[in-house]
Amino acid sequence: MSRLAEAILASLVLLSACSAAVGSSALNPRVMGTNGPPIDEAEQRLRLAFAALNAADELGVSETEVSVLANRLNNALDLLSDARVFEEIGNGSAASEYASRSGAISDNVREDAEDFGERTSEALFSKRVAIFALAPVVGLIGAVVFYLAYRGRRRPSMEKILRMGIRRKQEGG
Amino acid sequence: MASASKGFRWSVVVFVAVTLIYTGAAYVYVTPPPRESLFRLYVLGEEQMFEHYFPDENATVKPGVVLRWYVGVTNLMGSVQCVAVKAKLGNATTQSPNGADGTPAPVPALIELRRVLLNNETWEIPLAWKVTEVRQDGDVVSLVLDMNGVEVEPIVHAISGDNFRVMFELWTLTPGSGDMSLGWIDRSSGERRATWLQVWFNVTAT
Repeated sequence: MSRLAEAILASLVLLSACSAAVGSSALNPRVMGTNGPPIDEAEQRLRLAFAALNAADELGVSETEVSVLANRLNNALDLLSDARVFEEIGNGSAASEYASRSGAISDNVREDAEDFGERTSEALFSKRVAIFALAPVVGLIGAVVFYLAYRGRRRPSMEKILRMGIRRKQEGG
Repeated sequence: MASASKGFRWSVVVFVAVTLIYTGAAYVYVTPPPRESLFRLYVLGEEQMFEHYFPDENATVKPGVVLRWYVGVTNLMGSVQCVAVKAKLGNATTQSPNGADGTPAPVPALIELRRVLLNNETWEIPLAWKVTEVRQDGDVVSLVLDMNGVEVEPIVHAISGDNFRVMFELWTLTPGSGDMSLGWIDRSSGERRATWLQVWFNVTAT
């Protein structure tokens, strides 16, 4: 029985090592704000939002949620494009207003993407832990099935041996 | 008794083997291999097919004639991407974009359109453009264009108005890099790839 206990212990060590490796691969990028002219700042916020959305998508956030966030980010892109047009024609206040609205949308998208990403990351981690935790269970089931099959196969042959008797070989016959 | 002991020993071996095999299979399951990642870029004519880019298939463009093209981008990168399509005017000697090192054509963009694209999403951009003015200085011809309602004056000239070309470049925003750049990074190889297209045309003043 001590050998079986050692095998189970070894599996648990293997499991914990795998879990630690899986946990370290769960990325959750952090972002920082920037300062600058309104359009450049909005552009920077949009890039950070896209990075967060891309990371969330890579983590496996549902397509519906990614699609909603992508649409909002496209609205932010359109507003930023309009802000550039206003800037080109010399309407600085409108450019600033549009850039500000674009930046606000980008910030919301970034926060939502980070939330979705964090939730998905936790769910993914739990799923992976569950998958790896099943390893010793599956191994144990395999071992028990094997042992029972082994015993079942050995029993008829043992009984046959036990039924055997000693008989003298008949001369000339 | 010896038989039972032997069976137990083999059971331990089976336990270790099954556990290791399962763990390996689980690792493969949770870490899918990197796939080839790419974009598809295309230009369609006015009937949204790979033909009829010019009226009567005549690539000599007259001022005032509106050309309707559709520029399409399909995201096959496996995740959401932020892309930009830049249209540029070049001539026969303009350096073409270099996909290998990610160098764009060294001329300013006439128009730049950006969008966040979902995986497997296709974005088709209607592009209506025309030559609004042909400026001639001896043999050298320069143009004023109208692209989707925006008037632009390219810096490119052509001798006798021959061999102008509209180039379309696909730029992407690499997450974390901060800047848009020509092409994209292929996940499987880690190399930069780029795609671009061009449509040649001539211009006549009459």
